[in-house]
Amino acid sequence: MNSVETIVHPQVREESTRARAENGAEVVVVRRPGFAVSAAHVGLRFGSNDLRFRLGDRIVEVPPGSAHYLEHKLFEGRDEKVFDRFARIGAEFNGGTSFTTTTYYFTASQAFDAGLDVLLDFVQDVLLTEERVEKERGIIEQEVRMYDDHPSFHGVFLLHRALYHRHPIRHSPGGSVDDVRRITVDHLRDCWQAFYRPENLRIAIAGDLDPEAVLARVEGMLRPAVLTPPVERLVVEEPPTPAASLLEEDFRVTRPHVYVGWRDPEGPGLGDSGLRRRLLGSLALDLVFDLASPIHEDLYQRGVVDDGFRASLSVDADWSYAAAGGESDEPERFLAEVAGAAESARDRVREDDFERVRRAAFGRLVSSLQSCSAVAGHALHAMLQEVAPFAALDLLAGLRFDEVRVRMDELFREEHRAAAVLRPEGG
Amino acid sequence: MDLLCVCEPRFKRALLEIHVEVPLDGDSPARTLLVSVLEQGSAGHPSRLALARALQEAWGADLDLWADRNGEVHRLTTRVSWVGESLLPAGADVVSGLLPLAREVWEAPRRGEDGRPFRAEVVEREREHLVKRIRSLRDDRAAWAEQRFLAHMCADEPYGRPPWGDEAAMAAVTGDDLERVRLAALSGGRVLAVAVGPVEEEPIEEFLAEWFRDRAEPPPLPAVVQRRPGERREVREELPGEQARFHYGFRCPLPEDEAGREALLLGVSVLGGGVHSRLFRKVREERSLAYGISARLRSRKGLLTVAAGIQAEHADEVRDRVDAELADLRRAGPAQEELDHARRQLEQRLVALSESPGALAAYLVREEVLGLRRAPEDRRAALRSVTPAAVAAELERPIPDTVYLLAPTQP
Repeated sequence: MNSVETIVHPQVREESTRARAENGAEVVVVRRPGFAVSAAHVGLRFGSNDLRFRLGDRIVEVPPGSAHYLEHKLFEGRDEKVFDRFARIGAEFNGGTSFTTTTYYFTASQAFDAGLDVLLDFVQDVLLTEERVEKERGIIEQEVRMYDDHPSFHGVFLLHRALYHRHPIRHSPGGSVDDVRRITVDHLRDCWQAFYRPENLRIAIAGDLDPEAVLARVEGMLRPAVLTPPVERLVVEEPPTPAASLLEEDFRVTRPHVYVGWRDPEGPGLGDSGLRRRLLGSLALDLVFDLASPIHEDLYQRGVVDDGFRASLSVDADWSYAAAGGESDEPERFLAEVAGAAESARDRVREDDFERVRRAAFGRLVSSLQSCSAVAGHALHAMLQEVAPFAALDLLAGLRFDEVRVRMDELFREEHRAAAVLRPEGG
Repeated sequence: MDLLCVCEPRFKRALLEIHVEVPLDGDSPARTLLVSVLEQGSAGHPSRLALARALQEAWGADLDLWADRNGEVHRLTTRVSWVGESLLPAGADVVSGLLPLAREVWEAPRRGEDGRPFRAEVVEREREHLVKRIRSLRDDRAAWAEQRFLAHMCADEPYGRPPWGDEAAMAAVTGDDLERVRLAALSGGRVLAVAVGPVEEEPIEEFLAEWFRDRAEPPPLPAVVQRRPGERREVREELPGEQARFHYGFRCPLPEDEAGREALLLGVSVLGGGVHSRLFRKVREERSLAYGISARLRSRKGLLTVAAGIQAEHADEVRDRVDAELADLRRAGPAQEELDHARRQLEQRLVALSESPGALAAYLVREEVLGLRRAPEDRRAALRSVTPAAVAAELERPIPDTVYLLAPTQP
């Protein structure tokens, strides 16, 4: 291991050791004396948005859902199902595919080293055959159908199609049933070859463990780096303003579901500047739509929104938007009033509101880092965003009220806004 | 009033849950509305906004109220959680303000005009929200299917009735009803509190004792209705959608003895308790019929239920597979390896209780209401002595009752 560095994080009473393996993979170990269940999370920056890339001298295009399909196939293992290998040590495990990352993890109260070997083995080795790929198709179709039955899932992706012209975030991570039916073994092999390189792995481990011994074990399990140039992602050019001001669809809902979103012209990138922008956006959203905001309370008291109203921020390197949504019998009123409230909020928030919201954000972040799996998941997410573990705490403490107001002004603009409405079928 | 307390300074967040249990009955819709109205403000914090601000000031503390069905009991839960004070700046005092807040929302709600127990416009607004929510329950196909399944299987039992009632029952609730059920819950409900995390037991005990000091011993909760099934019933309903939801219910009273309970639990785990289970392997991995299929024991009611999302045309095959695997486990018992996998998973989950305040609190409450009060370490020891033969014997208990399918509407 190279550049081994141990840092104490007093705000959360944690101690992390960061290192870079010989092959280039990054590793963080958080030592947590007294914890009985240890956790290891591994991930890489390859997600459902990676639909077009240059592999050698070929341009590869894969159907939406390919990264998720490949995640499923990794669990098959080369010689033995990963399920069986983890079951033997009683470990809990899972994986997940987001727009930009794929992650795998396990937790174990015994035989942690054996579990770590399994984890680092199956993410560096896969056997893809037509028969194996075909066998998974029905399972994934059922997973996709399960999500398709959720109005909120459907509504969010309708909003994505309103906000973005061509960006792959328009597709759900699992793809549609039709997408899943188009995925072939060759698509998955290309994805594997392009992205699942040992040097691309990011590994976060937390538990009552000796960091030095863990790092040595990880180093021993990692395979050599692939000696070809890194894959080139072929990014579609995305105009800076929304694709449509409003998209509507009939869906299987009793009442209209209404979503309004504001997108940034471009994403904030990775690293500390990206994280800083994300935190500012999050605080801006809280100042407008948290239950403690008079803006939200006013909308609630006047019956514009009900207790199902939600707001969220979605950000990664190349996209960023804030959204609010809920059910309403008067979608037009909902859209006009919610949009109006957010776009006029900048002049209505006060510095004491900001301090209170920041204080709450700090408390929630600190206390979310409870289990070893939560800590390892946080550290992995940080690495995949190219920031240090727990960096959010220091950044949060350094944010200023005027910065949040500027962020609100940038984000909540009419020209950045789009909306989506699911209307009851036959209604 | 019982307090279960685990002081664990390693936890970064503390929680206190106060459960008030009363029978599921015709007043359940009123109680469901009551918790929504109580969240709208108190005498000291006269709006939802004021409550939310107090919680933000307390470094992101939470105060949540909800009502749900637990066995045949209507459980009203108040949960307060807060970040451990050792992680906050010196002198930060969170807990001394939070506990009185939890009591205030119940004991000193915001009153209405002219002596009304609650503000009329708040009752009207929250009632309307709940009526609309009940109307749109079917939009969540998975939750709706489970609701309909339980309604069919337990049609003449309290467990089969959703605690929120129906639109008409909710629309008929008045402010006076809310006050009546509030007072009845506080004076006659069974109170069980659990505190976990960086907490001190004594102040919490004193706080609860002061709150509930004048109460008489609450009446015992009614016994759970256990209906013996006759012929297995098959129910099919349709709703527009992408995926069919399959449910299969068995009557399955818990064994009286500890060894039997652990053997049954392991048997259910081998049948459908995770990726090691028979159903996961046969239905998902071998036949690719489902993304997930699982079996669970509803201990307080005494039901074993199996659920999966599938294509409707595969429902008979999945039902027959459940029957076949259960029959095989009864006849031959699980293979030693299957049993070991299930046991290790359950043991790990028991160990993991020590890492999560929420999970530990839920475990303690569950043990208390079942009258078992077992420490996780004792349960782990009991699990180790279960044999394949014991599992086979305990799996004779489940008796098929209802197969339910919510299928997408035929075009």
